[in-house]
Amino acid sequence: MSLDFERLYRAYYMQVYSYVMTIVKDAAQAEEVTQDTFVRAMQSRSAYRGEASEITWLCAIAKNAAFSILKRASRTEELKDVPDENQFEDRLADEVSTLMIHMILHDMPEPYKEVFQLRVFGELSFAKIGRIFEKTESWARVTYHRARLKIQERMEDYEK
Amino acid sequence: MKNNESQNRCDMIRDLLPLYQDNVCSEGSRVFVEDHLKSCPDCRSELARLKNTCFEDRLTDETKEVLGNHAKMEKRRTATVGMITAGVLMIPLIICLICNLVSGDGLDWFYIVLTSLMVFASITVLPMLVPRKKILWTLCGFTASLLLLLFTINVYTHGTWFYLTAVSVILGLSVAGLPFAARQIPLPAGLRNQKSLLVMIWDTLWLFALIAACGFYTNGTDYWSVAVPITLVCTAAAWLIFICLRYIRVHPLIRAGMIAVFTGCFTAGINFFIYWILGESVQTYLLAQDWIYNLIIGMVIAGAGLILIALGIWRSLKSHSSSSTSSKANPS
Repeated sequence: MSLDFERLYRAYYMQVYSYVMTIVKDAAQAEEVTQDTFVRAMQSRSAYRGEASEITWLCAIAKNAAFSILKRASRTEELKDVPDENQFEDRLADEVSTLMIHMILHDMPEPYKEVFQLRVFGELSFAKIGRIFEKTESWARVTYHRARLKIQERMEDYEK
Repeated sequence: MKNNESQNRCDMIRDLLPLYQDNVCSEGSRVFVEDHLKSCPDCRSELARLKNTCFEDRLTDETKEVLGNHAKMEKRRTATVGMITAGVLMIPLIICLICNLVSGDGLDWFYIVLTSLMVFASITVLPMLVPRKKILWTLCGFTASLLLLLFTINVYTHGTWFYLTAVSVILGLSVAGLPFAARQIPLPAGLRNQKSLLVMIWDTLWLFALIAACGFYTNGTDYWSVAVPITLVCTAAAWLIFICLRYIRVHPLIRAGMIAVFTGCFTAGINFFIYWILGESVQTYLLAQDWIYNLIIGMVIAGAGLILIALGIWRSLKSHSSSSTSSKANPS
């Protein structure tokens, strides 16, 4: 029971991180914003009335936090430390690609987006994912693989 | 150009490919897929695309890193607060150490300060330092440090009361704290479903230990003949209610009714029992004003209990008959 809860928490955390990445487009800032979002969410959780899903509520808080960080950064014109050349190139290649994946994920239709995120971020079993959507384990497995193929398709489109 | 039939077959294969790749399809399906793949390059490339997990791997790596940093940050924060609190506590500790050393010969009251600060630390620093089972650790730490404090005070004030206060502290903290901490106690497999029974046994034993400790401490003459029967009867009432709640599987209304009946009879009759044990005549009790109130309240509660039992029996008969009629309607 508690393991499932931990995985759902991890899935939520990474879903927010993924969303924030599409806004701030920088891994370090995204981590900071996600951390901040969950702190704010814990503090104002009594104000959550359940009108939207939890993830929508969390993303609303994250959006605020992300834009205020962008405003702060543009106001003070902070320059990031420039690491040495090779490290910079590798980091940039990795960063750009995961950023691209997050942006593709952001635009994916449901239920592919949610199933993919639950599987990759939360490491939930297909059985559990099926139960969440009130469908079968096979449905979850097939949907996940279709989502993966969609991502590959769009990545190929981008690279053209 | 594919004709319709082979396109349909490829569609079927594509539906099966995820199951095939994860190795969870039936033997027949596996043979069917492998057969088709030998002659269909499109589906083969589809399988290759399925096998390509580089994006998921990148995301998984990123996930590990982000969650790892998050966990590190959390641990650092709580550990920092814990260390700061511990550091703040050291200040009065060192001051008292110096004062005690300077004023007397040897340390005495310093140990009392030390153990009181340990009590404080057990509910502030300890929960922040342990990663899991915080409630259990805090309860045990608090109990142990409180016992240590009482022991130290007892030693340095030359008292003889330690065992008495120790037993009452253990009983009090068990009754208040075990319901919250019991879930975190490591138990062998057979006992994991009997946590409430174990807590009841533990509390009952320590209650009797307290009664015994009071007896030894006061050294009264009539103590045992009075204390033991009254404690037995009251404990039996508590156990009746517990067994009824935990082990008797009937409709909740019936259970609530049974508990109300026990409570009502107990309320009405307990004072009669106590007066009898104390050796007073029944006349003295009847002359006291409160017996009629206890009797009335007890009878009201017991009466309400009987009504609840009747309601519960009626309800469970109704749901029993409705479920049997619905099962007649849908034979499965």
